[in-house]
Amino acid sequence: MVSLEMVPDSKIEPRPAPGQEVLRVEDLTVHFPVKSTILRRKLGEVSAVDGVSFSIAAGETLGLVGESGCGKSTTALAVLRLVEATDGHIFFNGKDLRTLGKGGLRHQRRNMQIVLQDPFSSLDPRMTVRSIVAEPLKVHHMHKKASDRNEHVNELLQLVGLDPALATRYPHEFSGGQRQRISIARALALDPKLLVLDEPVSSLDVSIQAQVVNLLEELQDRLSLAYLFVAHDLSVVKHICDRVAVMYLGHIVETGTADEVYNSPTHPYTQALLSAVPVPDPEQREHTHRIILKGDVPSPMDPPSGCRFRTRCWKAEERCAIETPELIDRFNHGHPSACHFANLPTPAPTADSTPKGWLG
Amino acid sequence: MAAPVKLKPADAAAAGQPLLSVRNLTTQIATETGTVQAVRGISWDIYPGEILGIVGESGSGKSVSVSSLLKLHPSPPVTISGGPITFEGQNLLELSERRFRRIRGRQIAMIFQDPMTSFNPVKTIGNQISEAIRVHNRRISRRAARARAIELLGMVGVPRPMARYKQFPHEYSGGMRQRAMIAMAMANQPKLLIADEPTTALDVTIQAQVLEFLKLAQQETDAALILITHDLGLIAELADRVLVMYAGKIVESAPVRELFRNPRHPYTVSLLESLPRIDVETEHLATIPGSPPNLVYPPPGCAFHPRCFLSHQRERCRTEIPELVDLEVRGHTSACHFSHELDSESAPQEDDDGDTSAVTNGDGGTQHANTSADSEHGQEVDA
Ligand SMILES: Nc1ncnc2c1ncn2[C@@H]1O[C@H](COP(=O)(O)OP(=O)(O)OP(=O)(O)O)[C@@H](O)[C@H]1O
Ligand SMILES: Nc1ncnc2c1ncn2[C@@H]1O[C@H](COP(=O)(O)OP(=O)(O)O)[C@@H](O)[C@H]1O
Ligand code: SF4
Ligand code: SF4
Ligand SMILES: [Mg+2]
Ligand SMILES: [Mg+2]
Repeated sequence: MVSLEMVPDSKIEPRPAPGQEVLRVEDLTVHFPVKSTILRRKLGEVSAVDGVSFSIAAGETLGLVGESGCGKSTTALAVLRLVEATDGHIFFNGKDLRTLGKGGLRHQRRNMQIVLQDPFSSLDPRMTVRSIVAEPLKVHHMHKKASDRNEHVNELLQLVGLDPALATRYPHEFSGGQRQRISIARALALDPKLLVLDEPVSSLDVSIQAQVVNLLEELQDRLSLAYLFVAHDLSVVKHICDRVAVMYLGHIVETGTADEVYNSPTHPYTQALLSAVPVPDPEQREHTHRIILKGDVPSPMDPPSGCRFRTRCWKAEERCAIETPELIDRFNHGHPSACHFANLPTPAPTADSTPKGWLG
Repeated sequence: MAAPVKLKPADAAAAGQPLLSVRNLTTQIATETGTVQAVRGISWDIYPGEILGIVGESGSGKSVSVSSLLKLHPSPPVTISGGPITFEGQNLLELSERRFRRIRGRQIAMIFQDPMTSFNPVKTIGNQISEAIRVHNRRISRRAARARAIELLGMVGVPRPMARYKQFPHEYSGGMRQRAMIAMAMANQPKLLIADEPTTALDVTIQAQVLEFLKLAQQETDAALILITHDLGLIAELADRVLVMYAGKIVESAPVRELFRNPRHPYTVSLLESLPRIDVETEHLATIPGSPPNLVYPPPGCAFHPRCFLSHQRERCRTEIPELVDLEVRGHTSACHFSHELDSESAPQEDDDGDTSAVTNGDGGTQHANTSADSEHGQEVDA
């Protein structure tokens, strides 16, 4: 735990034991107003996140998956209060962040850091690596002497596998994978308990992605970090996450351990999502049963009544339009699912239309 | 395990004449910081009805190598040399721009990653498709072209095609635009369809929809398809044959099952083992140290040598460029001096974990085995 040793004693907060709850989110709701630019009138609301609940323990990774626009990033940002929630509670270290004032929030923010997708735009191009990583240390007055701060930066760089000799260089001199390491070093500077990782490897090539994934796993083991891991790549999420929450149009539709969700998905959306992942094994080509969903995700400004997935669901019945399914384990599957008819995968229709007549 | 490679019908066609044949294609791009050697002498063929996958990391030259075929870039800064590039008996490199226009879009059509940039934003989707039909077939009436365009939109699953015909590109969702792009590309029943990362910008369930239509379109017209992607999953699912590119060169090519079963270039091996998988449990991902080279200064000898687990600092890797040579299995080639050391068919095989023999690298670490714990801090060498 290199970075811990450099933090002055008075600034150390007790590190939660592995398994101890670090973050608990209850009924989180985020609505964005949609305004007309000309009339300055509110036209409606985007229901980006609606009644989302989950918790994460020290040393644990919760994966948030779902299609573009389903509310993953908004959830992640709201947890850090980088976006204001409309409703709900965010308990961090037992305190409700939404009731904290500026000072209290600032104090808690040290313990929770974010790493974003794009290593190209998230680092200030005019700052050296040293000043980028040192910035949070300065802001929080972690060291009296500059030499102590420098040494701390060097240790952080070593922690993420970068040579401290490179600290005088600028972000553009580094590759995508290296820049992501710099972002991670900066996020670790204040010895946080929770890292929010929003698509941290999505813009990286496979071989570089593997380096960063391995680094994140190793850091978690060493520092008992809790991770909220947002991604759309279901293979990466399966590899790195202990538990998974599947989102659709602002709702969590299914959640459980990675094994439960990947091996026995009970929500039709989860089943479709998993079946759509291309498997890198040509021998399985004929054996994959792919569920092709109808149409596109509806607008979050006007989500469907009842079950939000019903416009694309092949199992939808009348009840689905009337009654919003709760996220509960109805039929003893061992994990909750927000579907009135939650069940283990059964053959679903493959293609909903067969185009014919290309030859005109 | 080592069942003989099954021949697909498309494979059988491989005995006949290639539809397109590329020889020693070299593309250089002048930039402020020097000349980028984007494509460094590649040769390949595609046969009628075949799906050829081109895979490789970002910057490996996939896009430039196909856009060079269609002369999509202004020269300068782009310089194309080598050749010939033979399509139906004519050398595309020597064709006048006027004759080229008759081939582009008519006989060879292209689908890009971002359909927003390939459609004209101020014209309706429908008009653009009917124009594409009429440009290559003057005898067809405006009305007939319109009817055909609506029919095509319906075929690729665009809902209410009559109404959608009149809409502009920004009124379509990403997945729908990409399906409209397929409709436009297929409108003239091209002999060759080039799809460059056609689903990379799309969500996985939308990707599944788009691929379904792409497959059907390809099967029904029996067009040959070049599928460019960085996603080995898509390759495994769709391609008949695969080219693996690294630093502007083809480093391996093989029928798809053979490539995944018996990869014979260290880069391909590493790529497959660094992949987190949904179908297989992997304890620890293998990594490739460092990052892809700067193609203004490609490394001497084998361009992969600074990152290769098999090189063991051998002199030959640093000094001698490995040629793409035939291996024992028909159609399997590899550009590695030591590819025989990777032959898993003759070595003892492990189970399905994709974990082949652990090979010790020069630093004494196992670089590509799933069990290695010391390789994730690859010293990146390009900074
Ligand atoms: N217009 C351009 N000007 C300068 N360099 C270019 C240009 N287009 C491509 N290159 C360079 O040519 C090389 C190959 O590029 P290309 O786009 O073909 O790779 P790619 O494998 O398709 O990458 P990606 O997967 O990121 O699209 C790279 O080094 C790239 O930086
Ligand atoms: N600042 C904002 N103003 C209005 N709408 C927003 C804003 N941020 C996000 N949204 C909308 O909220 C929904 C969820 O967005 P986001 O959380 O970014 O999804 P994801 O990260 O899963 O792609 C989307 O419909 C998006 O357009
Ligand atoms: S509640 Fe109804 S519409 Fe929603 S997922 Fe279940 S079956 Fe489908
Ligand atoms: S030629 Fe040498 S460096 Fe290149 S792939 Fe083969 S072993 Fe590796
Ligand atoms: Mg996002
Ligand atoms: Mg490309």
